[in-house]
Amino acid sequence: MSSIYSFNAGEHDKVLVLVRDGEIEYAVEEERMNRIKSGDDKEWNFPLLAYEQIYNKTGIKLENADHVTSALAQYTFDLPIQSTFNLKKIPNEKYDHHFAHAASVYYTSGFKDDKVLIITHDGEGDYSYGKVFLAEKGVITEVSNLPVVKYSSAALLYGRVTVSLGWKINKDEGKTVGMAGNGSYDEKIYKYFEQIFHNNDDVFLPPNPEGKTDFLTKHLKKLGYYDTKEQKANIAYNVQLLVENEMIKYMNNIHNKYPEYTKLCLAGGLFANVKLNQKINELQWVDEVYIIPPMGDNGLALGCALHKSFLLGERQIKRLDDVFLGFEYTDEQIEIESKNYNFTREPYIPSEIANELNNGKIIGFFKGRFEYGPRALGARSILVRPTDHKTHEVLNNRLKRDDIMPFAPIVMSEYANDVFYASKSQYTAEFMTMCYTTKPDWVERIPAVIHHIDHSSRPQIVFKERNLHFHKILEEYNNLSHIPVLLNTSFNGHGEPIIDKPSQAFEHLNKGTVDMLVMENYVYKNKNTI
Amino acid sequence: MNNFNITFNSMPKINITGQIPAEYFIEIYEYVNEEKELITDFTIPTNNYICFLREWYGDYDIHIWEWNEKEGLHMVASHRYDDKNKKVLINLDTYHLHEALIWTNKAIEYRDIHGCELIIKSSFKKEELCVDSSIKIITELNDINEYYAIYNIGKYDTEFEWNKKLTETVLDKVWNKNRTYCSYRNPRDWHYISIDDVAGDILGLNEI
Repeated sequence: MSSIYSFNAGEHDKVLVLVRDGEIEYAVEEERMNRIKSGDDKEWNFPLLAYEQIYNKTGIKLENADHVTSALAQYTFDLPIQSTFNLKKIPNEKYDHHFAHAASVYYTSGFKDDKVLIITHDGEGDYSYGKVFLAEKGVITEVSNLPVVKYSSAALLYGRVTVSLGWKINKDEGKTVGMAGNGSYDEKIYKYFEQIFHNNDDVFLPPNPEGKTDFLTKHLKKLGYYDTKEQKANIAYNVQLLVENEMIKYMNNIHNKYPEYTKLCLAGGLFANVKLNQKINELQWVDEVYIIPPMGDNGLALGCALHKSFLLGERQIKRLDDVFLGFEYTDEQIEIESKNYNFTREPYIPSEIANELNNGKIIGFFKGRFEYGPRALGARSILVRPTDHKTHEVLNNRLKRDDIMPFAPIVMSEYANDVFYASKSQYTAEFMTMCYTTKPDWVERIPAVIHHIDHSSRPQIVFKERNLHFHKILEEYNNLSHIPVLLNTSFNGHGEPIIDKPSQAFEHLNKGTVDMLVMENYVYKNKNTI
Repeated sequence: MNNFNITFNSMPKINITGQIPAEYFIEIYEYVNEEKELITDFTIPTNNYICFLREWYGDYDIHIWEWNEKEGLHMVASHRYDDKNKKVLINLDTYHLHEALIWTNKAIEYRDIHGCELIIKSSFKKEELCVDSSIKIITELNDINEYYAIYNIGKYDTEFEWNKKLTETVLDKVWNKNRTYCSYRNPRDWHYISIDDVAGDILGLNEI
């Protein structure tokens, strides 16, 4: 039985994972600790703050771990940690970037008896934009590759377009997805981008997506194609459409080569694009899609650790129960921190909180261990009723955010298929990585959580057996409103990572970002605003 | 139409001249084991030039693109490196006769592979270099424009500040895609290879 530390020390998405005896014990992103959004942190560093806490809780020193793994095949493995730890005596194992992505999604897919097609795609890792793997009985085999010197990348095209729209690469691509929903088809714009990115069998051409996109968007800007909000939305729309169309061609071409592989695993930053994921999920030949919740480079360390664990015979191919793999705080710890504020505290009674939600209150939820990956799934979430058209504006004001993407819903699993066309790939939707179209009867009932034009939505399907407290609040809210849906957004202000500690939650209550806080077994309210 | 002049005098140089104001996107590719690989790109306006700071041989393919509203992105010029029957100057940058002799042999090997017209620049005389009459030896370089390509064979030290700085900048920004090199002049550190390989590296006769 082994302990495996695995880390990503790259320019973004630093993370530390501890797998012990085949189980994921901790997976902590450094951004939660150092409070610097991953996309803003450009240094190569070992995730030291995450390590200190994991070590404090488990007593496992990096030097004493049975194995240390990382996905830095092309770089000097020891570079980020040599000065901190003496790792020379223990086996350091590094894996290829895209293999690590593939392993992260495959070993958590639960597809243990299936032939599985794994597709990875991102803005570059180990000199590749993406790979295709076939997997069966735990063995992952690479069958195609997109070397950066020869081919193109949908993720890099998308990232550079995001930059051209005034946002940050590796951070704000979701805003482009959101903006795309407000645009419309423009043949000219579509063709301009198609010239610099298109599928050709199992590759994308022409090479150099970064240079060509920057050159193109610079000229489009000069000619006024970015002058208004509507024009920017058209750029986003046409690039989103192009990426969807070309990726679907790519998927179909791969399927034609391997028609018996109908279970699909996706990993890599591109698959944070939930609208693209929806299109893939809608392909007839796809039986089920699963996207690893930490789909970006924050998933690499997990992939390395799980692969190593599998090789040791300790890890099976099985589903994640949840991604609550961070740190938690007791009622006592929370109570101590609350003394710094003028708050009241009362026991948490779900029916009462459901009533407050039904009355329009914005409520922070701080329960258990915080999430691994980009989505807040109930441990550090803000819940709001989904019935108001104006909620988007109200929440953006409260959180001082400029989110364009519609807010996402949580839905009781029992009703997921009633509210959305969500019969396929429900496992991945437990982690909010898939869009579905809302059924017509529900469009007017839950306007705060669907896109007002295409009626798409990105639900988190909540199963009682795996997310009891979130299911309970939904159940209580449904009893009052006959709506088994709530709005769920991540608990953080503008530009900051999702919160970790009680004090960060209290600050939001103090500032009035939320009306009240559910923290473990108690509800906190601000005396000044009651 | 503007003029696109591409030369390889020590390094690839793309010079765009003319009357039409425009901006050009230049991509430099290299064939490695018959596979075309992107090395780098630049954007320059008319009446400007750029050099790709790498002084050793490359089987280059250079694409020059323009963008306009009617055609979108379109190629306006391209050039594949081809020195067959063209003048190639190989400069033996040494005062040591034994090095000059070894490098002369490598220069001849290059000529035989490429079918180019070889001119050697050296501080040594023809008799000292023991070459036949078909090879022209010069001691002074008057007009670089008469050559399709020029190569400097030498042991260039990265200890010199300007060389080190340039090398660091270029290595970080340009050559880090697929493989790393010692400097922009010697692909491998000459301290650790034979005299023979110093020239072989620069002339593309070795697998690096």
